Amino acid sequence: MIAKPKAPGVGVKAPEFHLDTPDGRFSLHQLAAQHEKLILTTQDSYRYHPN
Amino acid sequence: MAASLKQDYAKILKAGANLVMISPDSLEDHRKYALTLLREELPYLYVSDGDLDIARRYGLIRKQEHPHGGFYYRSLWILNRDAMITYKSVPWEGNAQVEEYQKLFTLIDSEPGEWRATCGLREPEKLHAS
Repeated sequence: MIAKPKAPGVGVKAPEFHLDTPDGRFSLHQLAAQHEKLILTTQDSYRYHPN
Repeated sequence: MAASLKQDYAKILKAGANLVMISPDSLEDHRKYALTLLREELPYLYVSDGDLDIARRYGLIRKQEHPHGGFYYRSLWILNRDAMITYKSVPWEGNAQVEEYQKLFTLIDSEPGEWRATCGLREPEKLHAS
C-alpha cells in the first residue's frame, strides 16, 4: 500500500518543483534563496473560479 | 484576486519578496484570462500544474468537488530564503476576505495591499467555449 503524501507544514522545507522566470529556469529552492520571502499561492482553474 | 495581486505586485517586490501563482491552467490559458479580463498580462511568476503533481505534494486536492467546480484548494504559503515554510493557509480566502488578503502584506513586512474584486464575471468560460 502506498501512503498518501503528507501535506507539508510550517517549519519544513517546501516540496521542490521547477519554474521558468524572466531570468531563466530555477528550482523553487533556488528562487527562494534570492528573496527575503517567497509567496506561493494556488487556485483552481479560471474556468471554475474567475477571480 | 488576480487584479489585486497585479496592482500590488510592485509592493511585494519592494518588500524584497516575490510571488508565484500556481494553478492547473496552462500558461496559454493563464495569459488569455489576463488579457480578456484585465487587458494585460499578469506580472507575477506563474507555474502551470496541469498534472496536479504540485497540488498532490502540497496537500491541495479537495476530497469533494467545489460547488463551482474543481478540486484544487486556493492556498497561501510563505517561504524564507532556506525555502522553509514560515506560514501556510489552506484553504486561503484572500480572494473573498479583505482581512485575509491584507494579512499577506503584514506577513512580508510590506506596505498594505489594496484588495479589490477581480471581476465576479464568468467571462473565462468563454476561453474554453471554443
